[in-house]
Amino acid sequence: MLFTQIEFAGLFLVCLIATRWLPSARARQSLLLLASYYFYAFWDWRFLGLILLSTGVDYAVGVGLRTTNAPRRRRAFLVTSLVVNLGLLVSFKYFDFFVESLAATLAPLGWNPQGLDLVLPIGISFYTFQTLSYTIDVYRGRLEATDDPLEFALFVGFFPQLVAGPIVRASHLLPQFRQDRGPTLERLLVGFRQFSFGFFKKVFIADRVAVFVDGVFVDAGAFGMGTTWLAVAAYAVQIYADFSGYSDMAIGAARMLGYDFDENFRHPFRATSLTDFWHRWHISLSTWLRDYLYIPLGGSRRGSTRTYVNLMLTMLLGGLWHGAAFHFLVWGAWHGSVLCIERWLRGRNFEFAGLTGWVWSMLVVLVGWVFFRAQDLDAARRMLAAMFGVESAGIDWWHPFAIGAVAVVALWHVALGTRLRALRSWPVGSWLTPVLIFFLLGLCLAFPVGNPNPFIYFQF
Amino acid sequence: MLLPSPAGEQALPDFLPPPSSLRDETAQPLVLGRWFVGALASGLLLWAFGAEFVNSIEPEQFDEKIGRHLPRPGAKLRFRSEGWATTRYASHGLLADDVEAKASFAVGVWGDSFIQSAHVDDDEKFGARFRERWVGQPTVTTVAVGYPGRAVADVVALLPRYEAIKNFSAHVVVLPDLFDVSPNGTTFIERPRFEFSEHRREPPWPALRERLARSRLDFLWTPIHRLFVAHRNPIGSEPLRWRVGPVPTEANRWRRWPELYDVDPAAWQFALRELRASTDAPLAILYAPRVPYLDDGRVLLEHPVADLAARFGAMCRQEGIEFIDLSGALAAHFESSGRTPMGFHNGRIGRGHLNGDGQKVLADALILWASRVLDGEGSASAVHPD
Repeated sequence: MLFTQIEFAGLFLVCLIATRWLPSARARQSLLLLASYYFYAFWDWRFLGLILLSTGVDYAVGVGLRTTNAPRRRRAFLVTSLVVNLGLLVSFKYFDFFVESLAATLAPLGWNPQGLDLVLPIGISFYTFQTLSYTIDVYRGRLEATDDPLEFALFVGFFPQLVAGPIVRASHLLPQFRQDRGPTLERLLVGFRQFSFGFFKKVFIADRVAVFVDGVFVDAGAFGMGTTWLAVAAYAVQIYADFSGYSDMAIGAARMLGYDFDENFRHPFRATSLTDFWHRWHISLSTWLRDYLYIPLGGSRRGSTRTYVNLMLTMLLGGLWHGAAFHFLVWGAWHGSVLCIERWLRGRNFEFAGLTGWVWSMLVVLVGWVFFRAQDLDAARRMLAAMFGVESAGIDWWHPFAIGAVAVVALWHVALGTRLRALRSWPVGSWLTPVLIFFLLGLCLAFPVGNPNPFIYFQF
Repeated sequence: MLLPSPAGEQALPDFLPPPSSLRDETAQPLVLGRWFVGALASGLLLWAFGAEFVNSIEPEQFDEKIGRHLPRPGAKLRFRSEGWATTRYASHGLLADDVEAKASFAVGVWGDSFIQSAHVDDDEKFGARFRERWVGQPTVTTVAVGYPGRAVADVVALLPRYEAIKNFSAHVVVLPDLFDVSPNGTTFIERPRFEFSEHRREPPWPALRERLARSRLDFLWTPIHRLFVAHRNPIGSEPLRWRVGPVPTEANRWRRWPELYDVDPAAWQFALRELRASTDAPLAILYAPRVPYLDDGRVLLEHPVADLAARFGAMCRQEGIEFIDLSGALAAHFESSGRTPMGFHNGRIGRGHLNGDGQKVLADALILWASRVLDGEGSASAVHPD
């Protein structure tokens, strides 16, 4: 089910009313768990089995870790969780990619291994990372394992963040489930405000910009330099509006129900270096990769060469997390390389900052998006050739909405440097807030795009 | 000077009104009241916004003579979703400018939304371009008879009815796609029997459309239509569907060529024969395919089904219908100007309907053909200003 689907409005309303009137936290948890499974099963009920398997295994691992201090047994529990979760992820997401890559290599030898041709279950990358963080935290002794299966199942399956994050840590969410939370008028309105902005970003901005972006990327190389740059900038706006819109809707929906998630985006296009960008973009993933991959690999504690290797590995795996394809791998390598360069420069007392830093970071990010968005590496090459004036058929396409969207998002990021940033938290008690919110929602209904796109991050 | 901020919220600029604290329970009814009034006020804003930016609803009425639901005389269609244009209608769904033009020779130009040309303003439509560029005697005008979704079968039915109410001297049927000849295909019947039968489509919820149009509440129609009439998601024209993997962007959504090659030539022959039999006036089919054709970044100056179009052209001539292939003129226009004749900046460049450039190319082709028809009668010639 999508947040932008009319069915979601019905389900959410039922949850809202029921959680308001249900007498105990336990009853609310049960209802939310049922609603979450319905939310997921709306796509394909068969994949609920994967969530149940992941939930069951990690709950048992948590209980096991709680009952033993023996290092070998604890390690065995952790390995069980890693094998099951990563096994599911690899089987469904990466197996075919590896097999196809292998097949291409082995074709001259006459060997042609076949993939499994499995459908990628929605949100598997998100809930796998979420449950892994739980078992790793419990293993490290940073979190006490829960002995309540209902509470744990809700942590894994809680519908606002189930299919596309944010990746919420157990230490943040589990305590909230135990508290006597529920909708209040203030939470309702603040949550609705955030949900509505997210809805507007996704439906009005991202889906409309997509018409232009898709048109240019699908015919990469046919359009002139200016149009191609505009398309890449518009894609930056699209993916930001799409994913931060989803995050806003997730955070807003959870808040309306009485639960708080951390912000997932912090004005990424104000970044003055790529390092800064990753402190602002998809924060729940970047902190996950830092805490559960980069630091365990040794982080920056084992000398500069090892630090660069760790950075590259982290970003390569971050790229692969987004999709099993070479262009995602190249995107990760591009980001990893630039992060290494920035680190190397920092070691020589040079740090990107101010306008130069902004131009640098935007250039790096935009070139990176070309690899991220292109259908394949050849299409990325053609896009880059058009962007840098090497080769293109030179057709011009100045899409007014895309130009407007890029300008508005750019101005909004500039405004965030002034006191206008207070607009982000426009008080729900003021006159203007409901006018603005209902106007934005009305625009989404009055100006629908022909074919609504699923959220971009559902594919990851 | 900044206003004092409520707990947890940032300081507000001066122009924002002070908030009411929701923690104060006595203020809650006031806040709810503000939200209610705010919702109503946003409706006013949308109404004002929609008056310029939303496609207008033009309620159709049943035309007894034509046998179709058509826009009313005097209707003005505001079209914004592809291009940016306003179209005026006269009686029987004809364009007001075409009907008002004084000419002794009228060429009926038949087709679907390509010919309706709601995407360009009246003074940019091919008819206006035709009249602007036509020099000589007799005075000639085109009369567009276009409506979205029409195919050759519609022309067969409607042509005699329009001839009964207006004096046409010649006809051109414009086909942007060979699917418009025989859209139902006939590949699975060994000995098919061909026939055209008329099916009248009633426009959905006419009373509601009428009321919304009269109240200038056009912006409400799309969500209402999608939610209650089409039973679809109100924010999109199709039910939302899952697709895992790359976001769906087909390189060639229209690439249905195998299906086209499978169409039984007898079906085309039947349609052409019926078309020829529907009028005694000179008749041509003008084929205006999507050229240049963007194919995975390559710009093709020949449409991928050019061979099939040539076969279709030969079939037309065999049936006594002249066949005009606009591909060459469209390609030449692109090569000389760098601009694609189809698609709009707010739609999809290279795909979609004829834009201002395409309308000019079409007008030029019609001028050439009309000149030839008149030359055949030995009485007129056309001179092209450029």
